[in-house]
Amino acid sequence: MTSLLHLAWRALVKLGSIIVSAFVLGLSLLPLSVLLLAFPTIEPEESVIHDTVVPTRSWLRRTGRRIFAVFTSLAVFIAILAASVELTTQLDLSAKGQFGYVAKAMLGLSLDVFVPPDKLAEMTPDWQQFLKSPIWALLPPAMIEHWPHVILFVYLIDLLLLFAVGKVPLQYNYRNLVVRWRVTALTALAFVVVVGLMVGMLAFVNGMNNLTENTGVPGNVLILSEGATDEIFSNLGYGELDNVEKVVATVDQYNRPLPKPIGIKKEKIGDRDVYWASRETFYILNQPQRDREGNETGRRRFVQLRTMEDGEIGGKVHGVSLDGEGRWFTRNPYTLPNGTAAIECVLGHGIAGTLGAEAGKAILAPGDVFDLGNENWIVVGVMKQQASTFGSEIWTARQSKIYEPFGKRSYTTFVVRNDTGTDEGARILAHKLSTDYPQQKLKAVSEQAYYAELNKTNRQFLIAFSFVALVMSIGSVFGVMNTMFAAIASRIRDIGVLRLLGFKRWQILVSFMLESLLIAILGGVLGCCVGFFIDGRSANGTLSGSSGPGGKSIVISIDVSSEIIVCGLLFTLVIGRLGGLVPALSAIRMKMLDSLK
Amino acid sequence: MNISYAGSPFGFDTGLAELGGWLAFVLSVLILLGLVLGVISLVPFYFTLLAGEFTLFLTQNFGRGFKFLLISFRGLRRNLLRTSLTYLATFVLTFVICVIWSVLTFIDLVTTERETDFKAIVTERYQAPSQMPSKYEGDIVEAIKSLPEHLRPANVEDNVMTWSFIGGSTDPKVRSMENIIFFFALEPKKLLTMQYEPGELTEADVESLRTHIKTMEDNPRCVMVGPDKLKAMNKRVGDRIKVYTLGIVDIEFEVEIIGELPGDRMSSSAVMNRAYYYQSLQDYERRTGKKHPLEEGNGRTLNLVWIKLPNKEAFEAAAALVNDPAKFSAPAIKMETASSAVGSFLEAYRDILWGARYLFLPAVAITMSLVVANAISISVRERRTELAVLKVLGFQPWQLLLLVLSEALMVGALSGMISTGLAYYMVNIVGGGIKFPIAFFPKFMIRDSVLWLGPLLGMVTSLVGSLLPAISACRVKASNVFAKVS
Repeated sequence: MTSLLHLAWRALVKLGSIIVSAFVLGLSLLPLSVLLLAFPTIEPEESVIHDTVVPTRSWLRRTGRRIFAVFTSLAVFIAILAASVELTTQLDLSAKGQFGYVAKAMLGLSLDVFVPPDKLAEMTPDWQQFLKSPIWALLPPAMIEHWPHVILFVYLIDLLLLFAVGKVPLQYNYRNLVVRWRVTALTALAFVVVVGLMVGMLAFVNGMNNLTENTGVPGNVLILSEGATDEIFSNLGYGELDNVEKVVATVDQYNRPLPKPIGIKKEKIGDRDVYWASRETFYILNQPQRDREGNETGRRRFVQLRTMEDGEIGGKVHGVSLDGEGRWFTRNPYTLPNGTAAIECVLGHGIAGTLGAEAGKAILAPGDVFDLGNENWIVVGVMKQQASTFGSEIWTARQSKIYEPFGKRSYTTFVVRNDTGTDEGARILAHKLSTDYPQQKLKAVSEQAYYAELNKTNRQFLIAFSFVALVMSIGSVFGVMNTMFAAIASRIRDIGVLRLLGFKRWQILVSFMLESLLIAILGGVLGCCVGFFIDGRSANGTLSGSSGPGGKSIVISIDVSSEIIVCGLLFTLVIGRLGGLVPALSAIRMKMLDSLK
Repeated sequence: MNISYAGSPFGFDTGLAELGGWLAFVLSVLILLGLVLGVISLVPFYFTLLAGEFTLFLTQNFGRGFKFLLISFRGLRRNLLRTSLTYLATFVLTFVICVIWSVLTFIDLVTTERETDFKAIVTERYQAPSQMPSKYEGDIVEAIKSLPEHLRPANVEDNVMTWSFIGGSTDPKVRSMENIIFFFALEPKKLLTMQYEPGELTEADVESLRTHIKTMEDNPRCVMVGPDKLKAMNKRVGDRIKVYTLGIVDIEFEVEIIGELPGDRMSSSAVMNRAYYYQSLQDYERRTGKKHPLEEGNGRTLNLVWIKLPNKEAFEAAAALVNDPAKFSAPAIKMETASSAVGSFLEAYRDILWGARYLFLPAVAITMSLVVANAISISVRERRTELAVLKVLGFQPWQLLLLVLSEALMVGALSGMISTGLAYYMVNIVGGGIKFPIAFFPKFMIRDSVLWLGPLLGMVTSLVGSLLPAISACRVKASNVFAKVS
């Protein structure tokens, strides 16, 4: 029984030490200058600011020093963080950051969970609102939307502070890295691979994000049949659509009167008023793939086709324009030089590239011909390259040559632009159409909301990539630790000499931490450069929504944005810190004489 | 950028302090998890090492090879920290490779053409989702029956299965993945003969399925739903649900869930007796006096036909009949192998899968080799004197080479073995698969083959990483020892 208790106690002690180690590692991500200022909390006889500290035997004084150290470090931490938030705010960044929702997910907790409901009810409305807000809502937006920038600034300011304080044998560290260049290079190379991969993965997700964010036009309303979760399942053929253009919303979603009624935008073309409304049918077609000789490879792909009544109006409504020499399609049959008929079409930039690869060209251009569904198609225009899902589509005029063989006669989609041109106006009009259109039950949504909803795949990939990056980073941390432990083991005497020369323990700690950070930064910067090589390249992908089946095949332009580079650098610094801290701590624990033995 | 934040009763922004504390907490938890994983995996590693060393200690007199191996094992104990770190780095990277490799090999498997037991799919030639007239089923069966006897299946009807897709939601207003359900409307008896692959189900599953099929045939309103779908919808066997259809105008289904669909493949799917579907369409006609829009013209109620054929020759003969526009023209249809159809759906993922196969996996393997190379080269440099002593004692250069290589190989093999074993257990048995939906695969299981791939991968990457340090070790000069002493 006693031995069992003893065993349990030892297990408890071990568990405690693991938790403490984890906490120490967690702290290692705090700025080094903050940690150093907090150093006297553990060792009241050592100071970072002064070279010498008067030893004291008084418990009260020592405790006072400890408390002072805690407050000093906290003050510096807050100052560094505030400066970083301010610097990020001054940058010309978009209001919505790519990684904002990660912060929102992590900081989604509200403080009211810690307060009993009866106590909460007794509080003032100010306190109640404060406690019920999620933590992210209480923080400056820059800190949430652009947290990688903020944390990177924190680390940069921290490095500047450390350099400003000086007193660290940096020359010694630098020489050591140069002398042991093979080990330095091997460790840095591992960083290059890991960071390069991470940048590539995030750039892919960024490309997908760009598509979903840029496709919806503010002011557009997308109208589908009731119950349809996607254009492909929509069928607007069960009732009249003639009155859609005439719908006017006079109240908002909450039945409050609007200052000005919202209707569909009109434009005078010639002598008639034309509504900015596009009636469309969306098809997904199965196309055999061909090799460069024109032979079928046995593989197939899905191609997205959108037919519309008027290409020019459709282009206006969707905000799509054509590259210089192109024109919009007509319904008239086109006769090819060999006498066969062809359907005129406009291609998105992405699909033009995909089909061009089969024809041995970089991209199909006006005048090129391809076949799809037993028909010849002549390209009359190519859409301008922009991050949009339309870049993966073929657009053509609605005609019997298409809807008869493909068996979809009715419209699937009706897109209209409201006359305010705002997303708010689109939401109000969508509500009116969804609830008050007597001829047919419709599902109308603002186009921006529709495409924003198609980001389930983005999140799925981001979560998967983050998991992979996390696991790989653990591997990298162990790699750096290995190097740094070996570096310290082979330089035990050097540490002793440095201590004899008057360097303090915190200076040794900073010295080794900076050494590991330098290796990490070297590899990380090169890794970001490697990742940058894929910037702008095209890749196939898919988008799907979280509210049901459907989705779109897309051609993504991989985008290595500044946020991704910042994230890559931040990743590098975090791994460098985690990998360097434990070896550095082991270095400062050595006693001066022991290390010289 | 505008800075605005919710007012604080303190009169100043408390966010900075909150964020600092919160981040420190979250990071500590993450690191704790990493450490726990490390501790869990280090225990079997060192247990295996000690057991191996003990065995070799007992058998060292059996030959010089045993003694040599014993030295290698002891070498790993020399610097426990370095061995542990190298092991952990290889462990986590092998884990990542195994997971990705499992996904890729599964996709390879389903997109590779078979030579026998062909499963063919008939769909509309051009459009997706495919919509065909229900009468096509009979026409296709007749076409297959017209094949020469050696090319057609023994009983054609038993080897043809139709699918009609019925999507619906239990909430008519707000649709989400939690309330949307997709049924395959089919003949229940085909679940046994066509839906599952031979050997895919256990005997108990087959027995249970047989009972449920009987119930579904007796009462067409009975349905079966996969366990993951039931969980997502917060429903259980025995519940009755009303399904408001998506895109099938004015039709609603009231069904009773009588059982869970067995097998991992169907865990997020649901099946319904097609008789109930057809009955609902007839009810619509009776109710409104006109045909349901899906039955207008030739009708569009049939989405997909599965056909089992004995071999490739039979498939090609059947495809020639079915693909003939003269026989099936409104709409034209195509027959393709199941693997080809799956390949079409995966086309959208082509570049991602290419990147995973040709960029990601090699990059992780290179990282593993670099970590091992780093660790072994440090180890060799530290042990140059010891290696020189071994040379003085009569060890040949190739023996020193083997000594260094064997240490690296042991770490690699053990980390690979333990990592894949743990991945297999945690993902397949505890986690129930990797939930990463691609095309119509809701989740992926770690493949059995990973159990040999992991150790092999660990050994190969360790071999590659330790080769140069090992060569440098065998080039150590015996005079090094005297230089050090002097």
